[in-house]
Amino acid sequence: MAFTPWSSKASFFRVLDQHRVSLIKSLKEGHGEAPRKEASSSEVLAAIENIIQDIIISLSRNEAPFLKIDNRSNWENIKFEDSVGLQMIPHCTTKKIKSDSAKSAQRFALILKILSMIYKLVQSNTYATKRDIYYTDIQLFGNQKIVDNIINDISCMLKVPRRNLHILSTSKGLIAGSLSYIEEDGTKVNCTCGSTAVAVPSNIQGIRNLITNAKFLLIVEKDATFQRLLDDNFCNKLSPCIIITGKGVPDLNTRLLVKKLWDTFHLPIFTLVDADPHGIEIMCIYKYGSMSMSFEAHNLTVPTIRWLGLLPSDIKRLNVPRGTLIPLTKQDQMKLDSILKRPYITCQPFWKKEMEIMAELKMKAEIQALTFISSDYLSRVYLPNKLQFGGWI
Amino acid sequence: MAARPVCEILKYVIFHWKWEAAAGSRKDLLEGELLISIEASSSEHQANTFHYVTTIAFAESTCGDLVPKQFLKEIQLLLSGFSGKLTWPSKEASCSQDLSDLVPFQMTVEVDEKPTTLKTDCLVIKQFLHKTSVVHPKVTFHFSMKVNGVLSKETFGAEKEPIVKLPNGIGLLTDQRHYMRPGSPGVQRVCSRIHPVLGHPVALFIPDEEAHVGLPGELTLTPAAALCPCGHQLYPNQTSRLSTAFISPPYVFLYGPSGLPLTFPNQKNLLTVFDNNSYLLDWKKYHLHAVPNLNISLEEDSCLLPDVSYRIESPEQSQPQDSGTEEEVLLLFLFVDFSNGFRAQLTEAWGMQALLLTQLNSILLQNRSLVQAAVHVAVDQALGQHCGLVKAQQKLQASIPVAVSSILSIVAGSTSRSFRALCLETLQAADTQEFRMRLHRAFQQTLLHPSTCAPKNMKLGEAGQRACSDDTKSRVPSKQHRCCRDGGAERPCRRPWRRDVSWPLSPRWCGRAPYFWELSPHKLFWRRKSLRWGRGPTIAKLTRGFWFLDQPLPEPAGPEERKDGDKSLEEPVAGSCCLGKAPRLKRCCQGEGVGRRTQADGLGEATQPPVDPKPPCPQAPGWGSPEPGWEDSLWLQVLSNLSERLGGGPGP
Repeated sequence: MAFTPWSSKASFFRVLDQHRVSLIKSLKEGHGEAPRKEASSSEVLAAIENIIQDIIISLSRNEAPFLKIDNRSNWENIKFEDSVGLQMIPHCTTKKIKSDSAKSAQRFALILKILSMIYKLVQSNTYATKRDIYYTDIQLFGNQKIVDNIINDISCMLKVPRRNLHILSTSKGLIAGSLSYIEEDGTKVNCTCGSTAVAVPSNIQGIRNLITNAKFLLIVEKDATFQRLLDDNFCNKLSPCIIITGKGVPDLNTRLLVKKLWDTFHLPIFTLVDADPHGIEIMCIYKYGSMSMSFEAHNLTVPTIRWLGLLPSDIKRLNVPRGTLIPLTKQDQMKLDSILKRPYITCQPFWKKEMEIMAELKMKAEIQALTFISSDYLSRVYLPNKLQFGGWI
Repeated sequence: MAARPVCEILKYVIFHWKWEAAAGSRKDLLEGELLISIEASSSEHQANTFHYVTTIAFAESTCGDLVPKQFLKEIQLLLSGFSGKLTWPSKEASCSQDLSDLVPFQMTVEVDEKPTTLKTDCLVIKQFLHKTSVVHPKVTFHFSMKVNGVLSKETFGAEKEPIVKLPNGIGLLTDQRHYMRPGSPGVQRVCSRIHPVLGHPVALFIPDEEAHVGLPGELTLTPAAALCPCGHQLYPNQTSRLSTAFISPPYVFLYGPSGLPLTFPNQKNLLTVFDNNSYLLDWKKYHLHAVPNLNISLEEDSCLLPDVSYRIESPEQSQPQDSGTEEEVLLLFLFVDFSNGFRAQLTEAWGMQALLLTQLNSILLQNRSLVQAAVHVAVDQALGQHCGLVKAQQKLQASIPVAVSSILSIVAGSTSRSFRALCLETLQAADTQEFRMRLHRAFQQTLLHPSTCAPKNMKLGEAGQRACSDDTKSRVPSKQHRCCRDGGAERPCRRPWRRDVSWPLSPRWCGRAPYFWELSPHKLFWRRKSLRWGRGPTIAKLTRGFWFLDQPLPEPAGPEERKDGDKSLEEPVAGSCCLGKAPRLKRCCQGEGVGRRTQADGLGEATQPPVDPKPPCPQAPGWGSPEPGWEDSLWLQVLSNLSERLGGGPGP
């Protein structure tokens, strides 16, 4: 029997289309974000030179030099704007990375080291990945995480997006569905190839000629669920659509691509995450950004993202077997409490309600819990119904 | 030997003084002055023998209600078997001479001894004074010695030096130069303090037999550990040290009640408990194999001698591999005291003090595990503190080349002419090569010369910490603790606790007046003659040397206050030690917080430079000779000459 997509019915996307119209309308009403102006190469070089100049002047005065970076670990420095997400306040407090303190001397030196590498990359108009930088001196850097954090610090200190520092990162995200584009080097990429996904490109800024007729974009928290959807031929059943996964906490490229797709097509974007605090946290990163990258919020956040599933209320509504649920741990409870205190929760009353349900249940559920109802319940029933009838919040 | 009676008398005086302070519930440090002068002349009774008169004098305020008769009785009891003469001159007699009212109490110890014992006696007394002054920093001991008309003076005491306050009204001086000789010249110190970690006092169990003898049942031992020198230092072109492999086994300093030394140098070892290698510490834990060091010899110019010391047995471990690095010595102070203070009568308390030394060995033996545990805690903490400092230093040092090469890479690779020019100009560098050098130096100066050195985990000694911070702040740019020679280069002063006062010496000679054993036979002959002819200054005249005690001195002239016409400051000052802010005399710089002064006085010959086999000053190390055996050979030469002269030398 020939496969007929459910979405072939004209009425299937009616609610989705309405949602998209309302999103575009709200953009036109001026609630849209104003992306920061891209920094030119000469501006980046000048910014680095200024830092070096300050250090040399300090040394000439016999003063221990230090670097000043906006303090991104303090909620008081972060403001929430519904249309942007989490962003740094204009005059936030800063932290000093001192050269004469044993605690921070190494960090100070490593920042200078990476600054010198960035300087060369920008000068020569070449790009390197974070991994490349780490491998230039494994012993010096110690581990990749240190390099990643320092690059974020430099980006924040210079107020220049990472891609303008000519630093890329190897993407861990995957994308599939009704999308094609050309990468910076001219490679044509088509994501519509059945059961295989395409890696999210490393240079998001460089991709062009994006083409899609997708009705929505679904962000899937976990790779396993993403693969299951591919196996279930979800992209064809609900065609045209795009699915993407950041394999857990998303990397910058995945977030940038989601942002780029939103900016380019203004697609409705939904998230499919576990009904647990960690899943909610990941969804919040896509939607509102993170504290550590709050200085880049304008380029990374997509506040129009909606929570499609798995909602804590779905657990009761769908009669998910009790045995498939997992009790909330103390850490889960703490994470849930911390999310509930975040500024964006006040403008998300339905989210708040769902989290309260979770707290009341004292249970969490993974997306896979739906397979206990039926093996293809997620792709055959749960998601189509949610999308058709607007079951997002 | 006259040293022991002198030290015992001094002990009694300080004990009495401390007992009075305790009775008045005064917890402050003792303050006051004591004068100890030794005058030697040929004995009228025995040939080849000198008659030594040692005078101990102190102000009325020191021991207000000291009753001379009782005092003499106590001392005579204490020194039973002592063959010398012990007198307490009457107050009238004292006043009839030139003695100042400051020193109404005097007593003299007269002995006839061979000249060879004089050096040892003096060193023992000076060690005792130094050791006492280390825990009683506000007590000033003026020590003077006149032999053959040559007078030399030293002052022990460090009123303004930083201390760590200890319980029972004593303090511990933290200037590391009390405890170690100056290190290798390539090592530049950031901090000149020790940072003692005070352990918990442990109550020592007194066995029944000792208790029956008369010791009360409340004896405590408080350990304090410190590494010397402070690990916070810069090792140019050297790798820093992290492990304990370079740490020497401890020097142990024992103090009894009232902060008085328990033993004297050269005294028969009563505390055999320390002969056991592992009594104090389990050396294996620190990767050391230590054995007791039995060769603690008295040396002129030596720092404070420990009561007990250990050395590393394995020869390959004994020296750091890196020739430029210095060993760090673990200093261990053990303070034994009665926890109930001085509730007994003075006589009884003094008796207990005397009794303690005889019984301490068996008490320590009985309490081995308690003592070891307390010492371990203090040592562990001191070593932990040291490791923390070294690690921090290593981190800072490791960061410098990375920072320098990164900055240089940006500056050298920049296409902005103005940026490059500004960078080079700021560091006054002509080219990138010079820029790198200056950048590296600037980083070293700013990062490795912090203004403070305040290790964590010090239980006591806020004063010490503060002082340390202050010291390091002021020390680096200032000329404190450095000897200025001929207006030329500075070098570390070897014995900063000595304050040099009015040395009328040649610019060639840096330091103090020579002792008689350091003089050439020729000079010695003339001194002997002047002594015979009675031209030498009397004891009364000796005290004139202390005029600075009660006279206001001019404020020291800072460099900015110096005027062109001030010839006194332009004169070449031989060996003047610029040691700080203390009152400054012509031809001398004195030190703030420095405890030991030296002075030459009087005779014309003293103004002549002694015959000095050493090279001239700019290369000479000043205080004593670093060459081993130099003093000994001179000393032997002098003695042989002296014997000749005494045997058939010219008469008056």
